[in-house]
Amino acid sequence: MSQRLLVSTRKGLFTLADSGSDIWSIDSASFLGDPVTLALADPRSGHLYAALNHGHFGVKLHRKAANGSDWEEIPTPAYPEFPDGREPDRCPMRGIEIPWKLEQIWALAPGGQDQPGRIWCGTIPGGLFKSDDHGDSWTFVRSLWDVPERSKWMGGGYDYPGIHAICVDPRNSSRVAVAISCGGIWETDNDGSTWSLIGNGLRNDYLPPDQAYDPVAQDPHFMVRCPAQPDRFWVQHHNGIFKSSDGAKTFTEIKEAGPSVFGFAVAVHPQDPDTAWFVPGIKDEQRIPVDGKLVVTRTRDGGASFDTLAEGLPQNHAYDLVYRHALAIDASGQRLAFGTTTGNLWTTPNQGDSWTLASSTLPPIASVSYY
Amino acid sequence: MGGFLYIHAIFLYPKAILSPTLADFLQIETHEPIEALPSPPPRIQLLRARPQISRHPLFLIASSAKPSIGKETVPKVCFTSNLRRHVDCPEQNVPGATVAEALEAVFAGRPALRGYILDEQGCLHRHMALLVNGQAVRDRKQFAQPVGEDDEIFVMQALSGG
Repeated sequence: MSQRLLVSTRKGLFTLADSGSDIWSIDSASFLGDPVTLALADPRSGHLYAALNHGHFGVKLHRKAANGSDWEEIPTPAYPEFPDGREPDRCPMRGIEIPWKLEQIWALAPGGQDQPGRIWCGTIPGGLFKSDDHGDSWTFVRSLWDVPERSKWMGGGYDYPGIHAICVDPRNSSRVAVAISCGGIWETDNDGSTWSLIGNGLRNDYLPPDQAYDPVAQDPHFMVRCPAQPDRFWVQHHNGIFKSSDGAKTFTEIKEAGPSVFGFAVAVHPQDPDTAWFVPGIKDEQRIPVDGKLVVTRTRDGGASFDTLAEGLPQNHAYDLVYRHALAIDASGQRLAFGTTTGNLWTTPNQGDSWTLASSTLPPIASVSYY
Repeated sequence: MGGFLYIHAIFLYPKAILSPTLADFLQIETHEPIEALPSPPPRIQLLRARPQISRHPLFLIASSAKPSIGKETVPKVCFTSNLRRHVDCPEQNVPGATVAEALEAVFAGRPALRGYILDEQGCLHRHMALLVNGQAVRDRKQFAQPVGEDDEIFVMQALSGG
C-alpha cells in the first residue's frame, strides 16, 4: 500500500504521495489560504479530519470520508454555556480571564479499536471533547474541566492552557492520558468519568524551587505512548526530555541529548519503546536550531545515549522550528517526516540516518502525519 | 476620500472599525452617539461615504428599497463577501425589532451561519464587527439595539494576519 502524508499549514492542507523511493510530491491542496491547525487520518475508518482556525470566523472542523472526494464541515466542539453568577476563570499567573469558548483544536486522536466512531478532541483553553459518531456530535468532558486543579492551569505559548496530546491505551480504551500545557498530565481509567493527576518526576526549571516538581505546574510540550509497550511514554517538556515506564505515573529526566534537550516534538518507534526522536532548539525563548544547524536527535537505548542526525539537513543558517505535531513516524518505524515553521518538509526512509527535502515552499507547517 | 481612508483603516488599523469615532473617521454625519439611540433610531446619513464603501469587496451595501412583512420591522442584513467563501449568506430582509432579533431570524434560516459570527457563548467573534447603518455596534453579546425598517445591519470582519 502506498503511503501518503497529511500536512497542515497556515495556508491550507496538503497531501503528498510517495513515488515508491521516498520521493514525495504534493498531489492535493485543500482549504487554500486558510489556517489549518491540525489534521487527523483515522486509521480505523479511513476518514480524514481537518481543524481550521479562521482568524475572524472561529474554529471549524471538516471531515473527508474514506473514499469520499469532498470535504464536509462537521459540528465543532462547543463549550457549555457559562453559568450565570459564576466568577470568571482566571489565569493564576497573569489574571487574564479564561474564556469558555473554543479557541483552537489542539489535539485529535482516534479512540480504541473497540470504539469505531470515537474521536477525542483536545482544545485551547483546556476543554476535552469526545465523539462516538466520527465527529457528527461532540460531548464535553465536564469531569476534567471541573477538576479543582484547573484553577492552576495556565497558558504557555498561547494565552490559555490547552490539551495537545491524547494517548489512548491500546490494551484498554477506557484508559486515556492527556497532556496539558501548562497543567501537567492527567489520566482517566474509566473513559473520562474521573481523572487523576499523574506525572510525578516532571520538573519545571523556571518555577520557584519548591514548585518545580508540582505535577500540575508542568509544561509538557508533547507526549507520545509506545503502541507496543503502552506503559512507555516519552515527553518533550519545556524543561527537557522525560521518560516513563509505568504509564506516565512517574518520569525520569534525560539531561543530555545532543545539542539541546529543548524542543516541541517527539516521536516514538511503534514497536521499540527505547527508540525515540526529538528536534532540538535553543531554550527558552529563542527556539531556533543550535548554531543554525538543523538536526534530529535519536535514542535507541531508552535515553542513555543520543545520535545527532544531520545528513541531508541544512547545517548553515537554518532557523527551522518544528512544532509539536509536525514530527511523524509511520507504522513500520522506519520512515519519519517533519515540517517546520519555515515551510520545509523533510522525510527519511531509514529512521533518520539521512533526510530528503520533500518541499521547501510550503507555508509554515503545523502538523504532519502518515496515512 | 472617506472611503479610501476607511478601506485602508481596515487593513492597517483593524481596531479602527470598532471605534466609536468611526463616524468621524468616515466623515459621516450622525445625529446621536450610539449609546443614546432612541427608539426608533435616527437615520444615519451615509450618503457621502456609501458609494466609496460599496466598491470594496468586504462590504455588501443594500441599495434597494426594503420590503415590509405585514407591519413587522424588516431590517436588511448584509455580510462581508469573505464570509461567503465559507457559508452561504446572501443579504436578506428579516423580521426583527432589534439587532439580536434580526440575527436570530437569519440564523433560523441558515443555522450554519451562527458559528461563523457568534461563539458558543453568543458573543460576536473577537475579530468580527457589526454595524448598523455604518455605525459600529459596541455591544458584542446582547445586541439589544433597536432597528427599524430603514436600517441596514452589516456583518463584517476586521482583516488581519499575514
